Amino acid sequence: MDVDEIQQIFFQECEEGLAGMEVNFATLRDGDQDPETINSVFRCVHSIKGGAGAFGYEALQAYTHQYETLLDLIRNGSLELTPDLLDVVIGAFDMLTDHVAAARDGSETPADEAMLEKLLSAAEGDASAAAVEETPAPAETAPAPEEQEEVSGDTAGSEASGDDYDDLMGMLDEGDADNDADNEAKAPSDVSAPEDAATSTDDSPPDWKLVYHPVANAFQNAAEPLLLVRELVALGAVVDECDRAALPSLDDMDAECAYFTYALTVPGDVAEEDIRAIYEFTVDCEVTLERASAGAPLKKAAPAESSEAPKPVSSPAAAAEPAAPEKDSVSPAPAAVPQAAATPAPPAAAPQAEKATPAPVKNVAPPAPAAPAAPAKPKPAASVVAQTIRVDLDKLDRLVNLVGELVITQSMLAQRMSRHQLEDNSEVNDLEHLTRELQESTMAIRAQPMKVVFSRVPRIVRELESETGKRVRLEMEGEMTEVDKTVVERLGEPLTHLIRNAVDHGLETPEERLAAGKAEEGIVRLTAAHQSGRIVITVTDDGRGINRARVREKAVEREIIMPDATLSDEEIDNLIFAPGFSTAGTVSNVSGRGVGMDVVRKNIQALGGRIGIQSRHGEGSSFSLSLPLTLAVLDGMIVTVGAETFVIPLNHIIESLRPTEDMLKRVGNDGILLDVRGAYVPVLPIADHLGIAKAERNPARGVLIVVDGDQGQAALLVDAIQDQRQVVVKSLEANYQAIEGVAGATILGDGQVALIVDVETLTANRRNGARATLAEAA
Amino acid sequence: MTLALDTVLDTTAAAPLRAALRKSVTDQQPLALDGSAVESVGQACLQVLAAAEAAAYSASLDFRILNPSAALTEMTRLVGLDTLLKA
Repeated sequence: MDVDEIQQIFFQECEEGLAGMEVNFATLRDGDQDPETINSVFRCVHSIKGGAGAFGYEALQAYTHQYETLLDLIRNGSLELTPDLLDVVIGAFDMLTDHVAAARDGSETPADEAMLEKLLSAAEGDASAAAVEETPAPAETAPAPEEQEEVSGDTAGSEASGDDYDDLMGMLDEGDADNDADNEAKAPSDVSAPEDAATSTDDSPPDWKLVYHPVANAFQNAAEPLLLVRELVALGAVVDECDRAALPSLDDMDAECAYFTYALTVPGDVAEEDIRAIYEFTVDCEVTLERASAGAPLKKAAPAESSEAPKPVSSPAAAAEPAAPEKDSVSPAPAAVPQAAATPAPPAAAPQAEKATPAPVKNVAPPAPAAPAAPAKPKPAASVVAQTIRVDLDKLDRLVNLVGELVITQSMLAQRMSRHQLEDNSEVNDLEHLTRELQESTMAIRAQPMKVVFSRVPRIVRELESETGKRVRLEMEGEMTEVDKTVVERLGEPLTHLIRNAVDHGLETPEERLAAGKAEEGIVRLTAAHQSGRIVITVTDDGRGINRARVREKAVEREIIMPDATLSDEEIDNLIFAPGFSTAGTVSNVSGRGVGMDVVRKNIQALGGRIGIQSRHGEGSSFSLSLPLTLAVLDGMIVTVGAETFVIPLNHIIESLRPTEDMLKRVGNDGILLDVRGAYVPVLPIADHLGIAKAERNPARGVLIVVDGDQGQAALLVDAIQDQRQVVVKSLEANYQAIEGVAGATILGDGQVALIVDVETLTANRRNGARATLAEAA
Repeated sequence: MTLALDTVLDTTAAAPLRAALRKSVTDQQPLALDGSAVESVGQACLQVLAAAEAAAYSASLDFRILNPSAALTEMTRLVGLDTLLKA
C-alpha cells in the first residue's frame, strides 16, 4: 500500500466523518446536547486534523486546529453551546467540508480567514458576535499555528494526542531524537504516568486491553510498529508485554520479518475512537481491542518489591517453565525482568510464564503473589478491529458479474435437467437456492445506506436558507435504507434539484407563511423506505403547492400544450417535468432555470425509476421517486415476439390479457386503442418498434401487456408469454451499442440472449408519434 | 572489540546488523556494542539485538550495549526491552 492509497483512505474516512458530524449537528439542533455527541464531533475534527498533518495539508490542519480548539472548549464545559455558538460550529463545519474537498481535489484552499476569526471570537466566549459577524477578518489576524497553540493551551485533553500524525511523520523523517522531550513525560519510564493511567477507580470504565501484532511482512510496507506503540503510550497506554515468543534464533531469523507482539493496557477513560484512530491507517497488523473483563482486576503499577526483580532462579514463574530453569540458574542476567525497572511490572505473571520461549529471550515475570489474580492475556476474540474492509470497486463488480454468470449457468443447468425430467433432484434445488442466496448476498455488498446522499442535504438547505431568506426545518427519515451503490451515486443530483425546488419554489417567505396562518419556519421532509422491492424516496414541503392555473398558463405560453387542451390536475402537475418548463418569475441562483425538473425525471428514468408528484394548493407538494434496489437484476416477464424473446420489466406491468375484438378500437390508419374497463390505452406492437418480422400484428390473436410509463399507459402487443423470472441485466452499451427501445439484455436459461424492453422509450415514442400525427392532421 | 551501532537503526539496517552480530557469535567474540550514536531505532533492529542477546547467552558470551543514546534508551524502555541495555 503506497502513500496515495493511504491518502485515499484518509479522504474516504474524512467523508464518513463529515457525514457523521452532519447527523450529530441535526441532533444538536434538536436540542439534544448529549456530551457524547459533542465528543463525537470533536473526535472527527481531531482525526481529520491528524491526517491533514500527516499528509502535509497545512491549511486544513491549521483550520481544523482552530475548529478543534473551539469544540474542545465546548466539550469540556468551558463554553455553553448556545444556538448562536451552534450556528458558528455548523458554519465552521461547512467550511471544513470545503477544506477537505480542496485538499482532496487539489483545488484552491477556501478563504477561511473570516471563519477563523469567528472561531477565535467564539472560543473567547463571544459567540453572538461571531455568529452575526459577516465582515471577513483581515488575513493577518488569522493566528498562525504557533499562536493557535497558545489559544488552546488549556486544552490538554485534546493535545494529549493532538499531534499523533505530526509525531509519526516527524519520526519517519528525522528519527526519534526530536520527539524525545515530548515523549519523555509520556513514556513508561515516568513511573507516575502508568500508575495514573492504569489505576482505575470504581467509577471509571474498565481499562482497554490491546494486543498489537504486526504481521510478518509488515516491514516490507515501511511500517514501523514502534511508532504505533509510542502513539499508544502517548495516549496513556502501558506496554504490559513485548512478546518475543515468535522470535527465532539469530541464525534462523529473517531480519526483515516482524516477530514481536505487544500487549498494552490503555486507560479505560480513553475513547475507543481515539485508540482506533492511531492504527486506522495501519494495515499490516492484527489488533485486538477489548475492555478488561468486568470484575477482573485491572492492571496496577507493580508493588515496590516486585520492581526489585528477584532473580529468575528463585522465581516460581521460572520454575513453572521446564525449559527455563537450567539456563536461568547458569546465567540469570539475560532473563532478568526486563520491565521491572522501567515499567511497572504487571502482575500478568502467569500468561507470560506460560510461553514456551528460550529462557534468555522471554520476559520473565516477577514472582508473584498476585499471580493467581492476574488477568488472562487478552485473546483475539470479540472486538477484532477489522470489522470492515475496503475493497476496490472493480473487484466487487467482477464478483457481481461472475455471480450473474453463475445465476445464468445455474438456470441453464436447471432447464437442461428439466428436459430430462430431473428437475426434482434435491441437489438441483439446493443449487438454485444457494445461487439465489449468493446473488442476494453479493448484491448486498454493493448496497449503501441513503445516508451517503442524505448527509449532503442539510448543507444545501442551510445555503438555500441564506440565499432565499426563508426559514427551513429539514426532517429526514430512513437514512439507513440501503440501495445499490450506483443508484446512491446517481441520486445525488436529482435529489439536490428536488430539495432546491422545494425550498425555492415550494416554501413561502416567512412573511407569506405568517400571512397564510402557517409557522414562520417551513418544513422540508426527506424520507427513504423500501416498498415492494423498490426504494421510494419522497421530498415533501409544506409550502404553497403547485399553482395549477399558473402552470397551465405557462405551458400554453411555451407551446407545451394546446390552449384548449383538457388536462386533469395530475397531468397539469406533470407539466413541470416538461423540458424547458419554468414558472419562476426570475432566474435565480437557486433554481428557476427551467432545466431542473426534466433533468430530474431523465436521471430517475435512467436509473429505471419513476417520479410522481402530489400537490395541494396552499398545503405543499410531495415528489416521490421509486427506484429499483439494484440495476444488476430485475424481475421480468419473458415474452415471445416473432422468433425473438424479450423481457418486459415487471415493475412496469399492470396486467396482461388476451383482448376480444370488442375491446379494440381502431383509430386512423393504424392506430388501435384497447378498452381497459372504460379507459383507452394505445396498443404498441413491439414488433413494429423493434423491427421484428413474422410477428403477430393482430392484437386479437396476440397477448397485450398493459404497462405504465411516465408518459402514461400503453398495451404492448406480443405473441405469447413464456415465463416470469428474475434476470441478470447485461449492458448493451458495454457489450454492443445502445439501441433505442432496448434497455439492456440478458441471457436466458437456454443460453439464448433476450433483449430487455425499454418501456419508457417505447411509450414516449408512441406519444410523440401520436402528437406528430395529430400535428400533421391539423 | 566494540561494534558501533549505526545512527539510524531502521529496517534496512537490520540485515547488516544481524550479519555482524552473527559473525561475532560465530567467532566466539563477546558482543560489545556502542549505542551512543543511535538516533533512531525500529523494531527490526530491536529484534536482531534481542536475538543476538539470546545467541550470546546460549554461547556463554557477554552481551552489552555501552553508552546507549537517549533515543535507544527510550525505545527499548518503551517496549520493555531495556534489559538489552544492562550495564
